[in-house]
This record gives sequence, C-alpha cells and structure tokens, in this order.
Amino acid sequence: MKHVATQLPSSADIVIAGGGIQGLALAYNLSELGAGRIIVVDAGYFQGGASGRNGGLVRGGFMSDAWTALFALANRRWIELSRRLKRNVMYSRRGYLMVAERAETAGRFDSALATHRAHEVRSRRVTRPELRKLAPALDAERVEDAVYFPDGGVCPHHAAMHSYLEVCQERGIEIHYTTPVSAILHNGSRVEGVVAGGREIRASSVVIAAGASSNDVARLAGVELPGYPMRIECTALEPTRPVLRPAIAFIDRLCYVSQTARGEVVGGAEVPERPQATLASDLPALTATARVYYDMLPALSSLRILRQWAGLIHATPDFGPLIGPHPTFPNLWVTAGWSYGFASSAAVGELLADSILSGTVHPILRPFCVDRFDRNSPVIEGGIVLAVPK
Amino acid sequence: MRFRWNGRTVEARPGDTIAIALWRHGIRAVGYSRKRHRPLGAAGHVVQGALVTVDGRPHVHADHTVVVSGMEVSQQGSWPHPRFDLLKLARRLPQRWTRGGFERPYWLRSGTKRFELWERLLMSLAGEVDPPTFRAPLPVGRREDCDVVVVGGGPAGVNAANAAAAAGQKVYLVSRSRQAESYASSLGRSPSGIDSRVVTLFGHEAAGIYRRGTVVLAVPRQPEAAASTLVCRQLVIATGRDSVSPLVAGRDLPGVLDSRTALRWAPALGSDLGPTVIVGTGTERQVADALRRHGVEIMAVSEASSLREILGHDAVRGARLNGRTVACHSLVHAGPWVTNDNLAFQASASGTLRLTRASLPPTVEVVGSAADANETLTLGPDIDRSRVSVCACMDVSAQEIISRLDNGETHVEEIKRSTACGMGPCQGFPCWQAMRAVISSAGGSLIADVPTSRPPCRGITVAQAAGLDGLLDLE
Repeated sequence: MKHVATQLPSSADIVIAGGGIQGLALAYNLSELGAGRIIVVDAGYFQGGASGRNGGLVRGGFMSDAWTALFALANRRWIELSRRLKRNVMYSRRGYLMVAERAETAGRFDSALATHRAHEVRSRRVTRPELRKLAPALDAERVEDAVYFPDGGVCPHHAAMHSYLEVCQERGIEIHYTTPVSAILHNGSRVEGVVAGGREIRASSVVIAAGASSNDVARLAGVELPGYPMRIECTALEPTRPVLRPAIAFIDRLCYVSQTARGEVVGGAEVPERPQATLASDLPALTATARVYYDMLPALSSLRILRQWAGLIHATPDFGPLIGPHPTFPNLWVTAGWSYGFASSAAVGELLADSILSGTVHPILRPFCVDRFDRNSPVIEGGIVLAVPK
Repeated sequence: MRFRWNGRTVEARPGDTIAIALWRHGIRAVGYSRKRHRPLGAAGHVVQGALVTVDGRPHVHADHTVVVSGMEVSQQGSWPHPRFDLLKLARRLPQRWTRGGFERPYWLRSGTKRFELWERLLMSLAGEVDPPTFRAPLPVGRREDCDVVVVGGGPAGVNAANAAAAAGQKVYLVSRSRQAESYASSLGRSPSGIDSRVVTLFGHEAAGIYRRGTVVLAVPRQPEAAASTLVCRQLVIATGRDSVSPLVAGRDLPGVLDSRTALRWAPALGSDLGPTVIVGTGTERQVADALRRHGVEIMAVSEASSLREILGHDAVRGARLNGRTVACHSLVHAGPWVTNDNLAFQASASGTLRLTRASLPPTVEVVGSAADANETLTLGPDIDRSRVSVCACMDVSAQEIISRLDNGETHVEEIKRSTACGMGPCQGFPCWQAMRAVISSAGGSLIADVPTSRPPCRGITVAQAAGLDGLLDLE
C-alpha cells in the first residue's frame, strides 16, 4: 500500500492530527458518513506511536459502567471488523482472562460481572479445573479468582493498522506521515484550520488524536488537556508453538500477556515510576515482567526475552480517555488520554464520527468529556492495568 | 563421549561445543530459517542457525554449549520429525508467498472458524519448538556498583580496563569470549594481560545498556546462571567490529563462517574444517596463515569484493571468485568489518516520536576498532537480488526489501515491520546493515538509515531477568 503523501491541500472539511489507530478509525468512519474532504497529518511515521507498540489485547468488560459500555461495543466491532473493512484485521477471538491473585481483588469481580451482564458482555467466573484446561501454562494454584471473556482476544496491530490505512486511502482520505502540525488557527471561539508541514490548511473541524503528543497539539490552540505523557513497556519472548490460548491480564501485578501468531509471547508489567516521557526503555520494567511470568507462567521461565520496547500513552488524572469537543472551541474535537486506545478504536471511531457530524456527543462517550475534571466528575475504573506513578 | 542428535548417537571430544561436535560429524546445518526452512549453520552472529533443543530446553545456542555426555540434542522447526521433515517443502514455495512477517493478513479473514485454525497453524509453524514444560530454577541475580564498566575483552577493552584499575578505580570487564584478547591471540599476537584488580565477567553478554550508560545488564551464556546488574559512573564500549558476510547468493549457507568463529574452531577441528576459501578486506592472508597453522587446507585467499557467489544447496560446496570456481567446504570471511552500534545507541538514544541517536553522554566512550568507520557493504549490480539473503532468521531477501521500496514505503521502521527483517534473535545485526546496503544500491533514500536498536541483545532468559527484579530503584 502506497502511503506516499501527495501535496497537502489548502482546505479540507476535517483535519485529524494523528495517524494512529484512533485517527485512522475516525477518518474511515467519517468518510462512511459522507464527511467530505478529510486530511490526516502525523508528526511520526506509520505505526510509530502507541498504535504500533501496544500488546493488541481486546476485552469487552471493565468494572465501571462507563468503560464497559464503550468497550462492550468495541469488542463487538472488532469481531466483525474484517467483514466491515473488507480486509483482514486478524482479530483473534481466543478469549481473555482477568486474573486476581488477591482476595480483595477477587471480591470486586461480583459487581464487575453484574456490570458486564448489564451491557451484554459475555463473561463468567472460571473454576480452577476449568482454568487448567483453558490456560495450561498458568500456575492455577496462585490464582485466587478469574473472569473469562470468551469474545475477548488479541489483534496484531499491524494488520489492523494496514487495514484502516488501505481502506482510508481507497476512499480518498489523504494521510501524511512525518508531517507535524505546527500551528492551530483559531479566531475567538472557533478553530479555523492548522499549519502542517509548513502549509496552511483551512478546515471546518480539527480533531486531536495525537496520542502522547495530544497536549502538545492542544497547546498550539492555546488550550490545555488534562494529563501528561507516560512511558509503558513491553517485551517479546523467543517463539514457541502454542503455549497460551487466551490473552491474560494479571490485575494484581499490572501485567498483561498474549501469544502472537508468530509464536512470540508479548506482554509487559507496569512499574510505578515517575512518568517518563521517552521511548528509551528501562531495566525494572523488564525484570518486573519476567518476575510475573516466572511466578504465574512457569513454562516461559527458560525462554529468552528477545526484545523490549517502550510506548508512550497520555495519562489523565483518572486514566480515562478524553473524548468530545474542547470546552473552549466547539469545533476542536479530541480523542486523547488513551491507555486502551487500540482496543477502543473500533467503537470510538464510529461514535465520534457520528458526534462530530451531528454536533451531539454520543451518550456512550459523554462520561469521558474533556472538562470532566473541572466539573469534578472523574470516571472511576478499578479494572485497568496501569501503575499509578510515584 | 557421546550425545544424541535427532535420536542418533554422535561422538564428541571433551570440551567440544555442540556445533563443533556436529561439524566434525559432517553436520553443518544445525538450524533452519523460520519461513522458508532453509538450512542455517552456527556462524558467528546469525544466532538463528545455532539454536537447538537440549534436554527439553528450547533455543539453546549450539556454539555456546559444551557437550555433556548423554545430552539429547534435537533440531528445531521441523515437522513431524527432524529426520522426516515435511516442512522442507517450504523451500519450494514461490518467494512472494513467504514475504512479510508471519502475521501477514493474506488469506483468511478473521471472524471465521477457518481463520482460527489457520492462525493456530501459523503459530505452530512460526513457533518452531514445543514450549518447555518445567519451571527453571530462579538464579538470584546480583547488583554490583562500580566506577567503570568496560564491554569487550579485546586489546582495546583490556587496555581501558587496566588503565582504570591502575588509576584506582573499581572496574568490571564484560566479555562474550571465554578469555581476553582471544581473536588477537589466535592471529598470533601476544596478549597484554589483564590487571588482577579488574573484575572480569567472561562468557557474559552485555545484553542491555540503560539510563544513559550508567546501568549495564550482564548476562552469562549459561541460561541457568545468574545475571548481574552493573551500576557504574563510566562506561567504555570496546566491542570491536564484526565481519559481515558479503552480499552474494549463499551468504548464510551452513559452512560460511566469520573469521572469529573459524579461528576459535580451528584448534579443535584442524583439518576437519575442510577445504577452505578465505575472503576479506585486508586481513585475509593473516587469517589464512593462522588457519594453516592448525592444519586447515586453504584453497583460495581473495578479496571480499571478488566473491560473486557462494555455491551449495544444503551447505557450502564452493565459491565463485571473479570468473573461477573453487570447491570448498568452508567459506571464511574476514571483512567487510562493521561495528554493531547497538550498545552505543542504547546509551545515547532518546525521543518521543522515535528513538534517535544523540551524542554519547560524557561518561560513555567508544574505544578501539568499534570507534573506526565501517567498511562498506556493497551489493554488486550483477548480483541476483532474489538470491541474496538479508535476514537469515526471517528469510528476507534483498528483492523483498526492494519490493517494499517500490511499494512506496518511505521509512526503515515501516520496512522493518512489514518484512520482520532483524526481528529474530540477532537483534538486527548484521541484517540492518545489509538492509541499508540493499536500499542504497537501489538508489533509495529513506527516512532514517537503520531501525532503532532495542535491548536486550542476544537474550536473557525469563528466569535470569526475574532473578534481577527489585535490584534497581525506579526512575
């Protein structure tokens, strides 16, 4: 697929700053709804951000209503996405296990399961013998309790990203990588376009979908987004034949893991470091991940770690995303603050496209509004795998 | 003494590594490439060709592991059995079918039952070996605080370590080799000797450099031994340069050896190394003389640029040198010499959109030949691109790289991801250097010239890494 940029135009209907999966999924859905001329610009390279660095895990259920409503839809969309895009996104519906090692964590599963039911997410508790069958590599003795999502799974990010890219290009959406936004044009209460790659592009709406750089982009319009960039890390092991069927999140260890179609086990544990705004990796994340594997997945203990890498997320005060119009500029839209942005993209693209074109924020997105911290209404979610920085 | 190879008994001499014992037994093809199932041998830095399963432990390095009597060694990546291997048929597939990494969304779309079966099949093919069934013992790692860490046990590394020790500093020297200055000694130079105050970690890989060169991850080659976290004020990188197999057809056939490996093996193998052709960029005569002293039969000594093709199907059987063909059993290359930049990159790189190399921190120094300019790797205009392997592990040919360029990919990171070039156990060296040469031969100008290096280099086991947990404060 050629993604050589043609020349940037001088005007568009919508400019999206960020060509990660959020930006591309949004662009695709906007074009589905007949949005007109759409331009995507990105300061980095294709798949260079978190969309090309994540673990690709997808699950439909969390602990809170707001998160579950959004991810339940996303999981349903992932299952049918290949058919919809007429491409192979390789979503592998191999199940997702949420594992608790502490009784306290397990105690919260009851209400989580009720929330899942309310949003029609298939999930159930699994007994230890069942766990041994489902994930023989797991040391079941150390598991206090586990919840299984049969429709959850993993998606290799390159397959999803290439699919969106091809489909966008087929529809005439112009995508320009290594083209940073250097200014956002604004006038009173509206944004009027951007300067990207040295060229002024007038637009009726601008969307910030710039991952960890979202705040830098927002500042170009003279506004702030809550949150800061933060490094999280990932590792890949030497390949083996199938050893792990479902994807697993170890809630008490802040660690997630799955095996790729290439046979490599990919995953990472978070460490409570001070937020680091760099793609350089560090040793504690590597050793913490290894410690979880060693304890919980003994079959992996003698495999070598092939490589380690970091990605940057945009962490907000409640670790939830920021979605919707910016309070200062009604035509400056945001989808940022993501730590589960890959998994959510299948739903957010659709709901946000609809919101932008109708001018009304979709009810599922409303709890994640950009100014919720000013209004003292954070979204409390206890089921996310992220370390609270020290 | 005896051990078992794919169920057959093989004789070995005490001190032999698995690779040397197999070679003496006439077996040069130890491993396979992952997609096309081409034979690979233990040949220096192409790690994939040296990986075997030993007593149920997968991915053991055949050239780092000394034979123990009764060992069960088996070849990886075959099905149903190494001696009756149907996967060899993959070599007959058209090249374009095996392009791209393993997880290419070519055929069956997800959302169907057939896709799930296909995915499992892919995982089995790509996975090569059955997962181990045991929990390895936890080797409890150490943290050592010191003034200076020197990586590399060649003359430059030894000099730097001795100088620091003489100045009263606490010095650790980390070296992949089993002894200091082994390559220089094998070429007949007398070693200068290490100051007794230097703490040496031989047989250790400096697998990762963190925190701008102040933390070094030192990993012993034996997977059951404990790793170390070295915290230092100063880092000296003296890792020398590596000879990269010339860019011709057959460059990763079993029997192609870099001169370091050949000279390390020569004392044990002698004439068993077989009739040998040596190519190089200036030191080939020296290498030839040293090999002759061990009784190796030298068939030809030539400049690397005169090599047109390495002949052979399952292993080396000849070399085509500017118009003449020479039959041989080994092909030894002593150049072009290229620095593996991985550790220096890790010590200096930073960035949020992409890691980019900055100037080295003042506390990090690259010394010796590692600091010299790279010799040029070239892909001659008359060389058939489809037969030149760029990444042995992942079966990436020069033609595949060129097809990505033709496809409009403009960033090396994209090409890395879409071909999986350099994503095997060798960590991008030397394949990204070869990739760079292929791109420049095609007249391509790309954004960035090689992908970003990532730790750990040449691996640390999960158990070894777990044994280091908690030794370092968080940033």
